[in-house]
Amino acid sequence: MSDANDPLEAWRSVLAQGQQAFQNYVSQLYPGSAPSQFADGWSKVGASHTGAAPDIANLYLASCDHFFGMTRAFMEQMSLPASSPAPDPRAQGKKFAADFEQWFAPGAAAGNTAFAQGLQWPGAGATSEAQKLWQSVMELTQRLQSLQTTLADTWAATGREAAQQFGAQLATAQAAGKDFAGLKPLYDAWIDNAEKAYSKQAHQEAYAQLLGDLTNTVNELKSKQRELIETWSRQFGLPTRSELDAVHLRMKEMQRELRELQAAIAAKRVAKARRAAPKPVRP
Amino acid sequence: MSAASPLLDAATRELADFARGLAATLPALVAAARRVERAPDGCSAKQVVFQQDKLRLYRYAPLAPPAGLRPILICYALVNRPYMMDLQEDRSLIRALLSAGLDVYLIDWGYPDGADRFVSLDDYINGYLDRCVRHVLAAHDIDTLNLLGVCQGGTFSLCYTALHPRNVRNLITMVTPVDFKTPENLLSKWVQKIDVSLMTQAGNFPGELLNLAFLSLMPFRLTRQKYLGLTDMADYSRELADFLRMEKWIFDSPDQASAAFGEFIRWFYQENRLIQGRLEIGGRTVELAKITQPVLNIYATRDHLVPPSASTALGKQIGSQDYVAAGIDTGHIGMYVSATGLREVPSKIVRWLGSRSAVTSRAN
Repeated sequence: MSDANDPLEAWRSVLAQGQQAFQNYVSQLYPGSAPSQFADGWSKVGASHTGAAPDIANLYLASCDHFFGMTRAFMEQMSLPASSPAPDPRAQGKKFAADFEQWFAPGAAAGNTAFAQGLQWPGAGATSEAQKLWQSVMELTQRLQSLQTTLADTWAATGREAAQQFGAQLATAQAAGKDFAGLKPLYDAWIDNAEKAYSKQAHQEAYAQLLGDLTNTVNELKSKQRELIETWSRQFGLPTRSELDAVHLRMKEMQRELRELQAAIAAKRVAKARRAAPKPVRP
Repeated sequence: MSAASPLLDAATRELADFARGLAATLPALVAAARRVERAPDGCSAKQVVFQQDKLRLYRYAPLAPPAGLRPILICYALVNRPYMMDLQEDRSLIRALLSAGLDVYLIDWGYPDGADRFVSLDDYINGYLDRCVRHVLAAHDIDTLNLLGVCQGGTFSLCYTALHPRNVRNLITMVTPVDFKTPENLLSKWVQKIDVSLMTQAGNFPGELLNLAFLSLMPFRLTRQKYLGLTDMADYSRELADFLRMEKWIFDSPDQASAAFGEFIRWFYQENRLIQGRLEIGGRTVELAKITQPVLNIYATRDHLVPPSASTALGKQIGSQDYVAAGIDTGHIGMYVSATGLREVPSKIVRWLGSRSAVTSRAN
């Protein structure tokens, strides 16, 4: 319902129009979907084939969508009457903390997509070997999910801290009557703030350990998944990665031997030519 | 009306402008993206003069009378594609070198696949790189060339020069890591806990994941903030195309051969062997002190991938008496495409090579 006295009405209308245009365009690009979230842009990047450009429109739209979302929070803050009580920095911080968490959470989802595709393979076969492998895969999957949860929790904690600081900055600036040069500078200030908080966390030993554990689990899972697939391949007489690896190693060794032989032959030719050359005559 | 209204009015106008800009940007963006996607990589004329497996060695067509300098071989990194050096006519280090009369060669490592899983650093440095060097030397009937290594390719060039010093007259390194464990190096901190054996067992390292790691160094700036700037580019097709060419390059990340990548992570990032004199490649120790030829080390002062401290460590490691370190006020990628980089880097290289060649001639 429209309310002429509502100071937020004007921007709500503009925001709604902008977001509608945004969604319409996305629907044209991706019929039947509403990929307006960062996750989708991120997964597009992850899914892009080597050599292909990322879906730039999608990345752009995701960024715009985020900008719209953040402006809502900024403008809610800005629309508070100057006479109203000073807002609680913690309450203000919550708005931006939620954004921070949302920002990162899809990153973990993208990780799920990229890393855990192998979980969609069919179940174990009749052999015990395959069953053991399947058990390993399940255990590793559980471990991976647990680590991803820990990572998401870590990001969320950092996000809350960063957001509270930023909320406090906004409240202080407003209480002091300081003007913002516009929404874009305000947005940029949030980016700076978020980047600084993230960097502080990312440099910690514990964070590196968590990333290491995550990467190691993913790699182990990938290897086990491959072993599992190879048990099926063998049953159908299909070549496996291990067999191909053995062939490639053998070829590499043969190439090395060939180069050594070629070098030896060339050296012998040079030596022979030297022997055949007339010896210099001493005057 | 509340006291906040004027501010709110201004913000509302800004948002409306932004929404209008968005509507104008999208069609232009999609059209430009399609054009850039179809365009060939690189802008200067070149031909393949040597190839082996997936490697291609290019020689660029001259753009100016020869300057009388030895040919320069550019050794690029494995982790991105080398056309960054020749992105577009007004953003091309290679074009600037050609315009100065240099004879330019470039190594393109290609896109490794499952068949390259066991390609090692020995294969890259003592194999492919050495064969490219020998090809150029034979083609020109000379005994030494000028070697320019970029980023990881710079590290390879340092190893190569230390192992095959007789083949290199002058060495130039650009944004090259040498000390892999300086405090600012976030990438280094992240890889310390990685089990390299597990990683190599899993096969080639996907380029997409490598890119994800690079973007994760500054996720907010690199995945959100920078795209908002597109709204201001809608009316400037040239700027839009420039941006998109960069995007195409950034996301064009080859997979990494399992063996070589594992060695690079373990030996360089985890164990920092290069500056400790403990690095062995192909059964031979890489001793940076054996690099006695002139060295120009160009680094970016705002590099988030290879911090300046990682590059400038080179000065204390090499045996050369003729070492010049040049910091450029830009970032890692800005080195090749920023106005500052393009203004300063090519001219610095050309002047430096010119003066070294003159000295060498007198000495000979």
